[in-house]
Amino acid sequence: MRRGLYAIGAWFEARLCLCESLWPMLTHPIPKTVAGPMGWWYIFGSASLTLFMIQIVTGIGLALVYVPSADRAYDSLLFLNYEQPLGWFLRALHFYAGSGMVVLLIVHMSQVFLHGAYKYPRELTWVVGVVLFLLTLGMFFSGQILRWDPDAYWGLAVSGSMAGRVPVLGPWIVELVLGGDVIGGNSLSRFFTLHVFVIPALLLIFLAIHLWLVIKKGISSPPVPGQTVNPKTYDAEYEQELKTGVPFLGEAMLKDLFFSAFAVIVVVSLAAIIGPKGPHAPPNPTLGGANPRPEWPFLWLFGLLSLSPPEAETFIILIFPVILIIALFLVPFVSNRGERAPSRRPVAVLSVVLILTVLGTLTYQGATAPWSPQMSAWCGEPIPEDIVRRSTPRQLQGALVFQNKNCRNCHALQGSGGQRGPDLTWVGVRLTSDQLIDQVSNGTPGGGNMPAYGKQIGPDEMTALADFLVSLQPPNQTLVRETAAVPTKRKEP
Amino acid sequence: MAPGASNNKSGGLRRRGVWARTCISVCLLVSAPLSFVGCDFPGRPNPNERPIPADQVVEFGLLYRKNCSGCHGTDGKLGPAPPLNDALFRAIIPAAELKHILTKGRNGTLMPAFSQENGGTLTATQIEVLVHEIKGIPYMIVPKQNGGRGEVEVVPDAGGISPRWGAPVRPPANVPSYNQAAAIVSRSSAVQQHDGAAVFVRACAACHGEHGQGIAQGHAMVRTINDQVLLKLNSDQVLRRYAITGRPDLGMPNFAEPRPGNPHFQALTEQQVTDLVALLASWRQTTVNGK
Repeated sequence: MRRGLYAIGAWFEARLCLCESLWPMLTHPIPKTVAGPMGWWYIFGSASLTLFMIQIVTGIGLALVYVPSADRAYDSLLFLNYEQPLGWFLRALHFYAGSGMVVLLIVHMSQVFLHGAYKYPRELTWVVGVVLFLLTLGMFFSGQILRWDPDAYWGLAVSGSMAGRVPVLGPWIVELVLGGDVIGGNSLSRFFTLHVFVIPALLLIFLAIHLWLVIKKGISSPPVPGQTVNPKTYDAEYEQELKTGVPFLGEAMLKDLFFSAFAVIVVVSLAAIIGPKGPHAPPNPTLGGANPRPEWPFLWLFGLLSLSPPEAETFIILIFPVILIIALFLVPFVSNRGERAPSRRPVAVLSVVLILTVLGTLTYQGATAPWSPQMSAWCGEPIPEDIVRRSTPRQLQGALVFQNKNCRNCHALQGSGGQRGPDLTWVGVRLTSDQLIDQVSNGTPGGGNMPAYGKQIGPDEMTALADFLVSLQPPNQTLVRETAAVPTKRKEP
Repeated sequence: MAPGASNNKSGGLRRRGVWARTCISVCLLVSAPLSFVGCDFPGRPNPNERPIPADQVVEFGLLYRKNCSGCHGTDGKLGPAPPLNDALFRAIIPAAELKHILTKGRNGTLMPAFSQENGGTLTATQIEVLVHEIKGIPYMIVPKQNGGRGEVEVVPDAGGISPRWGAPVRPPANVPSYNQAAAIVSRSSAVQQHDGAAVFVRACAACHGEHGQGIAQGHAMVRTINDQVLLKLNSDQVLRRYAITGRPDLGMPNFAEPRPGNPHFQALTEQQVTDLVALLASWRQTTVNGK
């Protein structure tokens, strides 16, 4: 039996020659220090590769059920979530393994940058790594579209509008991406093709190049202050270092294996505990109540766009990301020599801290800041009962106007309601009746956020509304600020 | 043995031991979650939370919360609009009237139309659910006869879904009719207003002031109803409804309940309610004291 198996193995080996090719790759020498505690810095790339494997396996599983057509996609996800045994788990695992991949790639890139591992002779390894990162983000975006719920629909609508702003080529790009002028079944087919065939194929190709470069150019040794990179002498120094090196198939691989297992456990646990993301409400472009958010890797851009003035939009959409991407590509060409130790590269350390802080803050803003009106607040969020109890009959009518004219969709009372405009719980302390009527009638001066409602609210409704709003004061407030610093001219609605 | 590895035999054995331990650890770590197979994971989507298209929601609580509570209050009470969870109101409003209001809105008030054909978001079935619930009629939701796939309709069924606010109480025999348009008017409006003023003094003045100007409370007047703004935003029908049902959630008595200082209050008659509404309607054009 054993001899038979050996013979079969030898038959394949004689033809595949794996001992000549694969074995040296696995056992290629790496700097000795990588086998030590510093080796724990080198585990992130392989862990993201492990999660990519999970993505391939779970992706195949999902593709067996998912129907990439506009009228069936959503239902097939519901089938996975609620009917297919463990279908929900497959979806959840696909989402969290994908998220984990992005997180690990960010950590991996930060580590490579901080350790100066992108410097000579590994510039191309970095460049290919950046391509892999961008492709992973492309997978994330195209994957979100396949969910085909309001997030997907509006995500596509926004990205289509963004692409439409490109000078000259805009309409052509929109046509190419959406498969038409507007979002439809063609758009879904295109993103399915991108997500399942095109981007994964590119990922595998660039991954192969990346790994080839890692093997051919070797793993950089942990940085030592004062040990600088000089392209003229580095190769000889590195070769010298490898003479005392250890095989990759050893301590280093054990660390990789251990951390990959840990990463797998984390994503499996997240999938089992939190469950799949969406799909949310059925896709319906007429539903004004959707509150779409992009996937978390893009929330920072969403946050940045929302916080920026309209004049900056085109720059942020078209030019800013291009600058960022070009900057990432140029990193190894700007400095491919000199110090590698973070302690000797304060600008590099500060850059990473600054970029991650800004990205983190913008992501938090994008996730939490309520920019969108809450479209159903007017009919769904009750006027707080204590306000109803202390209101006069006219003020109650004002409260009805407040709800009926959808003020509540943008303005909260006692924290409940839309957050686009200010909370009006105590607005009676801030503004007089005349000021309120002026604000409601004419909106925010200079084309600000609040529209002018003068023509949509009748005189009696306006009076009742102002009376209600003025009454919104703390219960023991006796002074109503009836005089404004600047006299306002009352505008008839 | 791998190139570069130690040739020391004990070192090799130790290394193999490390490998074996690591492999076992990794296998155990990775397979640990499998031990939970068969358990109900918290991440598993709850079938009860399966997303339903907004036009297919027929559960009253959700329908009410999304469409009505903004104006009529969390539980049909204590909203700025007239309370819906009011036993007398639920008993006397005709189901057809309720359906009409939900479908087309109420003229002369801020109540909007909710049916899809009138620009709202509710389907005819959803409006039927609301009507049955508010009227307190048990009902069933059944597949629509001759309807398409997934189409349902609401039918009264004593053994069906019990309305959340319970069955309405039987109204007193002397309760005035709900509908203002159906009220019999056989006298001139001037006479009605004159008689209405007398009714107002008897039934309303204790809380709203002799002429509806309200009651002074601190520096402000409260419960003012002789107010053009207020009255122009309320139709005669709404005024009639308040006169009959009061607003129990805000302490306003109905047509028959005792008034402050008058425990032996005699219930308002059909005619008196009509006269009272005529008086209030006349105040739309004039201010307090007829000025």
